[in-house]
Amino acid sequence: MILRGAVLALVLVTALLVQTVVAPAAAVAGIVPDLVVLTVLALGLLEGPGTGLRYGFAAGLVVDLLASGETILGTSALVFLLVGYAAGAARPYLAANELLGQTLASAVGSAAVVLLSRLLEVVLGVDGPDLVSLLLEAVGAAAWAVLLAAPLLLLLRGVLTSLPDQPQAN
Amino acid sequence: MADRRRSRTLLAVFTLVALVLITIDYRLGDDGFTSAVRRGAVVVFSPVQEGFAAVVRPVGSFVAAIGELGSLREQNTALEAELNELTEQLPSVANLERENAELRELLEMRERLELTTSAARVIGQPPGEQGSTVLVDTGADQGVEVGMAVLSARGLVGKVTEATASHARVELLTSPSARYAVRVAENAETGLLRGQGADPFQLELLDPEADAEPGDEVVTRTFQASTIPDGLPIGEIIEEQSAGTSERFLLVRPYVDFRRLSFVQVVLDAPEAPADLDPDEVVEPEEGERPDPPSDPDDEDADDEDADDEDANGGAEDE
Repeated sequence: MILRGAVLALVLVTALLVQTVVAPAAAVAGIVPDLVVLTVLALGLLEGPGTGLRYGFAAGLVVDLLASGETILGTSALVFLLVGYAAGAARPYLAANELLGQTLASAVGSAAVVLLSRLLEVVLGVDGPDLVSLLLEAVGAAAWAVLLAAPLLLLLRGVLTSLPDQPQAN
Repeated sequence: MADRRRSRTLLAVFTLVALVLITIDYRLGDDGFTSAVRRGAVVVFSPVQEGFAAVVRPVGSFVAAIGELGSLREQNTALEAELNELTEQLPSVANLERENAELRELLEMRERLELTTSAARVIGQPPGEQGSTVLVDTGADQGVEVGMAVLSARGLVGKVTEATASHARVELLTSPSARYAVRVAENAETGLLRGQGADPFQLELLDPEADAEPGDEVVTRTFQASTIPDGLPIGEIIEEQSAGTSERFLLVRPYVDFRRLSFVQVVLDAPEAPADLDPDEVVEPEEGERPDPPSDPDDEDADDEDADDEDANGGAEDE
């Protein structure tokens, strides 16, 4: 259990480092792949809603802490835990063609993160992009997810199955 | 079934915790303990980020060992290895040359604008910010303070919004919350510039009827208590945007390529515009130089009264 937690923490730190240092250089039309969100979705899809929401909450909290002062603490934590839970809850329905289903679920989840985050900003009165830019950002996030979700899912599945302890029942 | 119930319980608990955090941070704002926690997180994470950036930055090259030359065959093999090594180093040399040229341009701009600056390397972009801010490896120990302007070799990049001892967060011009007072260099028309993410900046001129054409340059405009130096280049007008209302917006293409920022300069000595005239520095006109006020022939009585007032003031001064 401790080993699994340490591995998940390592996954989060690695995702954050790649997200902050490498990913900005890969921006297309200003849209950067969100690897932290992709790991939240991947862990929800692989391990179930419990892990998805716990990891999502932790990842979102760290993202909020490292973001600028204009970001309200807890917003990413709330959004990430919701999509992590939703990804885990969708897992039983993706069994027919697992990897394809998980990739599409990641795309939908990535777009949902963009839209939910903006919705929360609107509720809290924070300035943000207009509707067209927002939709483009959501589509861009989904496109990045289609490209990156499958290799990330395979990598995380390999890492998690190699661990000796199994996850707690979700 | 029990697992599902446990997941739902967890969902409710974590959602509640997140909502409590949002409420606390929203109510406390920038003065709350959450800001201190944020600064702490940046202090902890920045060195890790910097180290990781140093590792992945494409300047390193693989070095092949070259053995002692004992025969022509061995010499040939060694030379081939050396050639391969040099070929592998080519990208890093190109990168060093690019960095060198970029730093030279930065120094030229600093000398041209007569600014005192602190050079910094861009070490990363905070997560979830989509090009709104970057972290740089200079901070309060180097004299960096919140509000200071940040330049690249091509022009204004943004301003410092947060500083720790060794790092600073820079809000880029592209941030949707960025607002800057600017003027059109060609005709000094003033306006307000807004960031729009990856899209060109939006410029709203104070005088909607003012002349501004594609190709005109937009530069910063200093104003009362502004920390942004005057005349820093920002970009050029590319087209007029029809908003469907009486408001007139112009689109401005930035000079700076915000996707490829590697070195920047933080302006340490931005001269602040005075809030008012310094009474000690006001130059009084010499006796007899004061221009006569325009006299109104229909108001001679009033002029007489003014003359009386002046006499009274003069008398008071003499006393």
